[in-house]
Formats: sequence, structure tokens, C-alpha cells
Amino acid sequence: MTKRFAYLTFTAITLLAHCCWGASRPYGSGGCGLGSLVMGKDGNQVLAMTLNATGTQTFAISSGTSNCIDGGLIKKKKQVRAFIEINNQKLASEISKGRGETVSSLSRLLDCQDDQAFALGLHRHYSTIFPTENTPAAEVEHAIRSVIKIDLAQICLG
Amino acid sequence: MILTSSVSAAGQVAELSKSSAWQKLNHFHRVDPVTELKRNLELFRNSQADRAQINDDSQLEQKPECQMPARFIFFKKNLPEASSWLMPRCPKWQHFSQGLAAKSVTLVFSSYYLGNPTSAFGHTFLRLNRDDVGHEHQSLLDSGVGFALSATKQNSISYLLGGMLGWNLGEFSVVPYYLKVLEYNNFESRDLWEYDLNLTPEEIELLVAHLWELGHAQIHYSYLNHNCSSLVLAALEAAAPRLNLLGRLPFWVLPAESVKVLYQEPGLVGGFHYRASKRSQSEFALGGLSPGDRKEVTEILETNAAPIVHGDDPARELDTVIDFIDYRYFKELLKGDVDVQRRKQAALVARSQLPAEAGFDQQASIPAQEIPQTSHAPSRLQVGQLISRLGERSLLIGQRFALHDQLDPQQGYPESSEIGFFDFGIRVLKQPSVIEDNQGTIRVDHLYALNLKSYPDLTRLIPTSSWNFRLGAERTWDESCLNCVAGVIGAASGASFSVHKKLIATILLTGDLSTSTEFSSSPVKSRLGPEFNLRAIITPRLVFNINSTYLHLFFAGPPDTYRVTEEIRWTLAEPLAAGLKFQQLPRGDVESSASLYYYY
Repeated sequence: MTKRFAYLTFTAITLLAHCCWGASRPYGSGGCGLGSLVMGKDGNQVLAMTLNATGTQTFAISSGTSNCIDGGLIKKKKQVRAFIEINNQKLASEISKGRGETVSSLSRLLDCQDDQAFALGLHRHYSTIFPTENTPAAEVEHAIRSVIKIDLAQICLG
Repeated sequence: MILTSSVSAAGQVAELSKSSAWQKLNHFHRVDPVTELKRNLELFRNSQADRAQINDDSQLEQKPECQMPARFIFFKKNLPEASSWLMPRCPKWQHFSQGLAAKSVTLVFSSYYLGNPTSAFGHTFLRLNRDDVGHEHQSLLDSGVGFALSATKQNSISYLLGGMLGWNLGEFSVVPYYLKVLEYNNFESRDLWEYDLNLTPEEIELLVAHLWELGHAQIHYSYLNHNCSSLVLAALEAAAPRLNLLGRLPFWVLPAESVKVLYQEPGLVGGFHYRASKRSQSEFALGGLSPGDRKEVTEILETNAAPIVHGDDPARELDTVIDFIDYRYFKELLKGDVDVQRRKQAALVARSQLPAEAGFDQQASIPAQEIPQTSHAPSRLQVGQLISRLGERSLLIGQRFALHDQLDPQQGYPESSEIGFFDFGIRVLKQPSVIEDNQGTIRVDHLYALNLKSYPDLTRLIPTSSWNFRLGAERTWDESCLNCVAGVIGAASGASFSVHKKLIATILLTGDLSTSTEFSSSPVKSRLGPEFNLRAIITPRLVFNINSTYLHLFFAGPPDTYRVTEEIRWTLAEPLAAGLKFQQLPRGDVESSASLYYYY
């Protein structure tokens, strides 16, 4: 009885250890200490997050931006691409609605001076920016930059 | 003169090594503070004396000033001889510091999440807020800094045991805050609570420098006392030695308790913000629709029909459809499920053809009853008196390490969850029941290492299942082994339905396996049967619960057994609560008990 109980307790402890606050976030380490950001096995090629310690719910977001990490942070030139890549679903939703925190943040990354006008401008061109249900991030970025040139040049400096 | 000077310098070093500022800077590793200070001082002195021109960046990075900028700041501030020291060019450190551009600091609590056991107790991390001169602040572009167990290739048992006993290493990492939001708000649908901290610019500068040092350090991880929350508090103390945060906590550090101690430092918390999970936001949006529009949206989502809306407010309807698709099918969208992607795209195209201004432009309001810092203390002591129809009279004594059960004061916790960690109770018998034939005067009632319940509301659009799980030992209450203590592992699965989340009915299929050397016919007993639970939250401080369980027994004893429990608990004035419990058991026995609970 005592042994069984000890075994059960041990199992409980290990189970709890698996389940508590400091849950492992197996972000790959890029070897640059604190600033390793979230990189997969392919180093700077891939921004990846493993969101569940079981490993069953893994998604890797191909940034398509080699060498996008510098000193632990996303390179300034690559920030827009990485942002669109990671937030693609949220951006599509917010651009279709014509507002939202994610699209406002993108406005800031693109050096635009009026978040609301930026969101409305992209809203008007939703079908140009997201012509299909799985438009790649590179095409989304290209389309957004085109919309800026055509429609939002007055508020965007970049 | 020289002797006096060196004695004076030695005294300064000894004095500095005892200072709380130095000791807090060294929180993450076990070193002798005097030796460490002398070693660091020598490194800096040698580096400053070395006037050789270095152009190679990789060599520059090896300089102690570049690797330990926080200590460099410490010496500059506290040691007269260091006031003239110069910071060399440190490309990586400067890029890191300038890239973060931290202007202020926020501590973020990611709420309890029983949908995924890895997150049951919550999580805390820091957000370094960018300096957005001349702009409204966009926090998604800030940086999240957290501490977690390092990923390793060892097997899961040694990995987990190592985490429990402190053998494994953890690491700090920086990620864009939008990734944290995506992870918690969207993927795990957890609410985020953001606490703005009043730190001085010098403290923020030191924090960033200290985090840089931590990024290069090997730090041991322990689930109980060297975890995400304790390391975050320690980093804050290192940056602002005036703060006493860890000293206010017990040996172990729970995330929500680490939030509470922020409030114990006068003026430290400037305010807090709530960032609703995708689920909370979706439910809020649905609640904002007219009944007719709500019905139409529900039908579209249930039947996967084309998003053609005819209601009072088509834009708001489509906004809600989009929110629900993003919430319910987040994983499918990420994995590229074509059907889901097409359904979402149809809704997005339809929405984009309506005016932007027409939609739903509100954020879910703060759920006042779930504000983490208002929760009761996690540990609980119970003292009570029990009498039974069959003559037992006992003193009840219980102790729970953490965290919350469904009859505790509801304030500060999700209403649907129960998280019990090392909860035990004993009975001190004053008089045994008439049918007992032995027993000592002290008897184990239960000892649960883990006891979890999640009874969220099952709605048409959010078909979340209810479940419970318990692991430990408990007194058996069926006739196969009267008053035996058996090791048990049990689980149940089912569904919950509520009226305004105040009257919650839960139906489950429940089963358990138990083992005891006292079992006569078989060392292992299994049971399976229906369980019904009804909980009424009369007020957040007055909760009634009735639970009825019928179980069929396999391998042992009588063919079946049952138990009906009614319990009411009233929080008199925190930290005190009182409760009554009635339990109908086989053999015609009824146990009645009255208890006082003390939360600490």
C-alpha cells in the first residue's frame, strides 16, 4: 500500500510538473542568448513556435526571410514581412472589417501617420490584397505596398 | 597613504558586496557575492586599462562591459573609481538595447487555462514597451520577455522530474509581443491581464541590461520556486533594488500571487488592462447582436452556410461570424484547411464590401469577477466537526496547498474551473460508527495530489466538453471495503449547461481505478457510472453544490454503489469561510459536517 501510494504521488508530481506555470516553450535557441527570438531548427530561415508541450499542436511559420534575425531581434528591414507572415489571419480579418489593433500596428511598421486612414484604405482594396483564401505573405506585402503607392502615399512615408 | 587607500577600497568592495543591489543582481546563480564582485571588478579594471584599439566586432563582444552591462552600470553608480570608466562599442548589446527601445515595463499575467493542463496555474512574463514618440502606443509591437524551461531532448520523465527538482535549465527569451498575444489570446484563448509598472528610466535601463546578462546565463529551473514568475520578480528587483517582491512570498511562487505582491509595493502598479481572449471577444460580439441577428449568425456557423446575412446589422453579423471562425478554427486555418479557409474568405469578402464604420467596434469589457489580483489566497486550512447517522463523531482537519475549488469565493478565478494541488484531509475519531470493527483514532479522508475540474458552459457555438481528473488517495465509501484508504486515479467527461452562468448543471460519465492491500477480493477495483452536478452561485461568496454519483463496480465487492453530496459554503469575510456538507452513502448512512475554512 505504502509503495503504491508513493508511486501514485510520484506520478502526480511529475504530472503536475508537466502542467504548471512554467510550461516549457520549446523555442529554438539561436545561440545568441536572450535575443534568440523564436527560431526553428532552420535557424534564421524559419520563425517557429511550438505551442503545446505535447508536440501535437505545432505550427511553424515560414517567414521566407533568411537572415531576418540580428542580435536577437527581427531586422528592421524584415519586420514588415515577419509581421504579415505571423499575423496573416488576423490581418485578413481586420482589413476586411476596416479596423483593428493588428492593422494599426502594421500601419506603424510601414511608417504611416494615420492608423485609421490606413485601415480604411486597405479595407477598400481587400480583394486586391487577399485575392484568394491562402494568399502568401509575400504577395500580401507586395499588394499592400502597391495600395500605399496608389491610395495612401500621403500618409505613408515608407 | 597607499595602504589607507587600499584598505578603503577593500572596505568599499566588502560593503558593496553586501548591498541588496549587488545581491539582487546575482539572484540567478549561486555565487559568493564577495568573490563574484572581486572577479567582476578585476575584469572591468583590466578591460578599462587595455587601451588597445579593437576593430573586430566579435572581439569587442568578449569585453566584460559588453557581456555584463548591468554590472558595469552598477559599478559606475556605486564605485568612485568606476565613475570615469568608458563603455566600449558593443554592437550586439547596443543593437539589442536600441532595438527594444524600452520606455516602460508591463507585467503580463496569462490566465488559468484548464483546457490545456500545461497552463493550469497561469503564467507571467514582462512586456518592454517601446518608445513611440509622437504616436499612440501600439503594444503589439512591444517585446515580450519570459523565462521558461529550456527545450531538451531528454525523456519526458527526467525532463519533468528535473523541472520539479531544479536539475533542468531554463532560459529567458524575447519575442515580439504580437507573438505572445497570438499564442495566448488566439491559440489558447486565454485572457491576458497587463499591469503597468512605475519604474524610473534608470531602472528600466538596468532591467534591459540585466535581461541581456540573463540571456547569456545558465539558469536552473524549478517549478515551485525558480519558475517564470519568481525569475520575473527577481529581474524586477535586480533593476529596482528598492522593491521587495520575493520577500513577501512564501518558498513557492504562484503566478497570480506574484501579481498580488506588485500591489503590495506602494505606487508600483500604475494601472492594469484586460486583453480579452478570442473566445471572450467572440462571445461578447455575439451577445451584442439583436436576437434575430444572433439566430442568423448561429445558423450560419452551425451549418457552415454561405455568409449571406439579412439582419438588422449585416456588418456586425459578419464581424461576429469572422470572430467565431478565427476562434474556433484557429488551428485549422494555420494548418491550411482549405474548407475552413474558403468559408472564412467568403465571410471576409462579404464584409469588405460593407462600410468599415458599420461594424462592431467594441472590446469585451473587463470581467470584474475574474480580476486575478482580487482572488483569495491559494492555501486553505479546514477545521470541522462531523457526525453520521451510524454514530461516527469526528474532528475534520484539512489542508490544501493550492489553489481553488468550485465552492471557494468565486472572485478572481474562472467560474468553471477547479484546480487542487496537494489537498489532504484527516478525521480524528471521537467515536467510530456502529458498524466499524477497528480503526485508529486518526484516519485519512483524502489526499489528492491533483484534483482538476473544468465545467465550461456548452453552447451551440462553443461545444466545449466538461471533465474532471483526480489523482491521490481517498477513503472508500462503497461496501466493498468499508473505510479503507485506497490509491485512486479517476476521470470524467461530459457537458455543462448553465443559466446565466449562475446555475450550472453538469452531466458526466465518470470512472476510477483504485487499489489497496485492504481490498479483499481483488487488489484493484474499477468503477464506472454517471455523475450529475448542479452548482448554484447565489453570490460570489455563497455557493451551493449538489453532486450525485452512481457507480457500477467491476472485479470487486457489491455490484454498484452511490453517493449524494450537498454542500454550501459562505465566505464570511476573507480569509474566513464557513460550510455545511451532507453526504448520503450506502448502508443508509448520512454524514453531516460543519467546517470553517481559512485562506492564507
